[in-house]
Amino acid sequence: MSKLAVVGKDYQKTDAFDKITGAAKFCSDMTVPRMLHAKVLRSPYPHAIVTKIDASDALKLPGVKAVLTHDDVPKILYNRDYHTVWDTLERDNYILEKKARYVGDKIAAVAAEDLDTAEEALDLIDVRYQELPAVYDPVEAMQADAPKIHDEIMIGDRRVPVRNNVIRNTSLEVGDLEKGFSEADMVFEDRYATQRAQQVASEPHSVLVIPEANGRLTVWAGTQSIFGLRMKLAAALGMPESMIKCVRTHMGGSFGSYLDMNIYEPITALLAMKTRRPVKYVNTREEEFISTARHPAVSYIKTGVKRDGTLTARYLKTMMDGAAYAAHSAAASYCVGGWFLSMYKAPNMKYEGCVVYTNTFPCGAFRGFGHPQQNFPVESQMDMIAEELGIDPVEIRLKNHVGLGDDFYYQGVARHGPVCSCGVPELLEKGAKLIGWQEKRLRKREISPTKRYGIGVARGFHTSGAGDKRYGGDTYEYASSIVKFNEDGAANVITAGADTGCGEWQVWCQIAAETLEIPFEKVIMSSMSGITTDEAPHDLGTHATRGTYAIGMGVKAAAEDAKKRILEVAAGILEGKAEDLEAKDGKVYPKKSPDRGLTYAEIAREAINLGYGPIIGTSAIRPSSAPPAFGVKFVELEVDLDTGKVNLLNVVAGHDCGRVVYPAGAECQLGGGVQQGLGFALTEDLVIDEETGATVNGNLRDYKILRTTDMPPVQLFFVEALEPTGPFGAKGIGEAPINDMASAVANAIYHATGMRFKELPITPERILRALGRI
Amino acid sequence: MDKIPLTVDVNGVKYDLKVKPHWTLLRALREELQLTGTKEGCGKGECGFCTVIIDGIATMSCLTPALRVQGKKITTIEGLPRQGKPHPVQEAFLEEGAVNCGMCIPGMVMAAVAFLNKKANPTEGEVRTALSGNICRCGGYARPVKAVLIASQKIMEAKTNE
Repeated sequence: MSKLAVVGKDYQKTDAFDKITGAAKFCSDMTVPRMLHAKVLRSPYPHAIVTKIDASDALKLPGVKAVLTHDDVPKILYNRDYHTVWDTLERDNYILEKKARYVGDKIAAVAAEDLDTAEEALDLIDVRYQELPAVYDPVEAMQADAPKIHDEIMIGDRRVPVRNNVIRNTSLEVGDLEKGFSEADMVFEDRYATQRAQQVASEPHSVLVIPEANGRLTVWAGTQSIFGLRMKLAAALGMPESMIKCVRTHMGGSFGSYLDMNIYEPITALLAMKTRRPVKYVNTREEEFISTARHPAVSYIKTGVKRDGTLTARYLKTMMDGAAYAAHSAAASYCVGGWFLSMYKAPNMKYEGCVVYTNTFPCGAFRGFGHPQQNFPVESQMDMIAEELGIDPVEIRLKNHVGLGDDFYYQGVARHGPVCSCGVPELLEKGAKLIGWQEKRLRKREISPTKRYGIGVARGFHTSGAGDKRYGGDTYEYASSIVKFNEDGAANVITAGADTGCGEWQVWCQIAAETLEIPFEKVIMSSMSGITTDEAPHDLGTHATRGTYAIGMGVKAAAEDAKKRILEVAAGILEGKAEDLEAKDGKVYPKKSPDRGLTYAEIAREAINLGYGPIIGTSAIRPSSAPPAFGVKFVELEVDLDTGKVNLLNVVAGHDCGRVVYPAGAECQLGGGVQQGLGFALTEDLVIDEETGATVNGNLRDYKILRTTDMPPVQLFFVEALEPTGPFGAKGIGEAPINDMASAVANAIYHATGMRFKELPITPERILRALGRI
Repeated sequence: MDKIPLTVDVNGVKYDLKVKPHWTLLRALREELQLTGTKEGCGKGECGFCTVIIDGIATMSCLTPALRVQGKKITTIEGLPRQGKPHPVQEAFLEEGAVNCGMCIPGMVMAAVAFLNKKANPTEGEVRTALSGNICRCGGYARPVKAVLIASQKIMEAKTNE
């Protein structure tokens, strides 16, 4: 590949100036004339039937324009997940419910002239409930006498009874597990649990729905996918997709929390249709905390090993809390299995996953999508195996990791393909060197009578996209973009892809500029905030770490197409053949006489004048692969035996995303993943009160996110194992940075104290309890 | 509920507003003045997104009743640039690639500006403490912290050249 001019360099990010000046409009900043404000009445009970609902007093309140209840909503069951193909989804939600299934469930909705009136109106709706017994634990929920959360759901057009609250079972065996264990010299068995952590996107969810005079709906919403939102909103409302126009806006973070329609979009749409007025809904932070989270999981893990550290058998059984409505639950359980199979090589492996309804608020996609749930058991046990066998933790990972040519399961247990690029050895070796692994592992752990020093390692990965269609169509994956030239030779990139705040637009503009061979400054991201499903080609948007790899692939192909078209037009203008021409450095010239060139601007202008039309390139791609993007984390810490507090000293984090397209953005992704992962390790846990079913700590005071003063020094590094299928050799980065952080912390705490924690987060309380201090 | 008159100077412009007694300054800025650069992240003084400068002091506008700012001088993110040129803190955030999703940025910038007005040439630890009321979920804080340190140099250089 020739030297890259734009890819791999830092620029001022496309949206940075708008954001630093406060000019960027997020959905929650939007106002339009005659706009009403919506609020949702939520169930105070975890499981209850609405026996009576009377909104007459609310409707009498001046300023109240509409109140909706279950009686007013289409009797269509929906599922909010964007990326799973509709026909395979568990459909179990109404827009407003007759039966509440968690504390906070959607019972009624109000639209009023202002927010104060809408809030007041909620208090005036008289609801009577018949309480039902509730269940919060997935294992208890499977018992014969457990409360039935859903009697029947829909999958496609089929009515499906729900048995024992089970949403789905997943199972896959590679080789012969029993034979594998019989060949092992040693077998390790453990049980681990990961918690209900929340994405905590900085911007609480919001939506603005404008009913148009012609019956269409214009929907402004922070979302990872305007087409995903359109698909699911159309389905929930029972409308054709073309009647809805979804508009992309700036997004205040996401981390997967915008990979599904939430309850608000269809509620707000119905209110707008009923009142014939624009309606806006904004979550409070407390509502945000019961909107989505990572699925809690309990895993039993069993591994068979030879004395030399070779793995003979690997088994994982995961029981996942599927919450009150399925959303991404089945897909998350399914993906746990894929990630598990792709961690380490063994000839015999098996995954069994079960995901179960409980009376807890819905969980959804969260950065890593099932990976941390298996990474914590796998990487904790790998450390125990290494210790037992007397092998260095870095060495045992180098020996067994899935690498070049091995099978990688990129989206659940059914979809797999060979690894074509792998930076794992370099990640482990470089990371070990940077942190001083060899020397520090031997350091004295007792640094004072009450303080212990420890250092730990863990590794992980994530997919880059959802991969090809060979294995059946249960996951959407499709990239399509438009690149078009302006008369001045600058080019626009038109894509439905969302920028969740990480610089995706920046990456796509750099890829387009590199492909077109024009300066970065001459590429424009069309309508950063404002492009809609009406004009952008269909693309599922920013999820599954597919931004750089899959959407980037689509942008590159569209730019190549535009470049081809500019050659054809230039050939017409110059009265020659396109194959005799060359496009380079913003010019087209005959290969034989480079001095006779036309600039892109001259060609673009003449193209219109001479009737060739505007120069437009398009793309339509289902990627043939979904390569793993690998990561590694090393962490040093000290544990205070008096207080149980973990003091973070130093983190070294490495990532292999193939070609780094936009270095500053990649560093922010990796550094942000470290921060979020440290929170997952030590502080972040949404607690459900088992008496009332309410979320105890759903606010930013009691749900602890690491702040500037909590962060240790973090050293970041990249290994560029170029991916042959990726645009300019790029893979993804988005999700992997969180996946292995907590495992590294748990391993370091073990190294410091000799205590193996099998439940996250590792809070001071858990440490003191393990020490017998409380 | 009747609205009450409020006179306030925002970004050098005097406004005569009418606000309800329970409204916060944040709500008055966003809804009455359409100054939506100041963000709401929690409404409880935990995230720092809504930080503005009131008479020189960085303050969370979601915890400030609108009627408490009668006659005071308020600066928001929109009021920082001078003659169209971004403030040195804004410049440093742009140059250091410190802007991700941008929800925390206005509050973080305002906290940093108020801090640097009082403290020239701070240490990294002092910057971290000054920004500890501002949550960021995207980038792990490294770049904003570095940007504030660079901004402090820019401000000192500008003062030397004056």
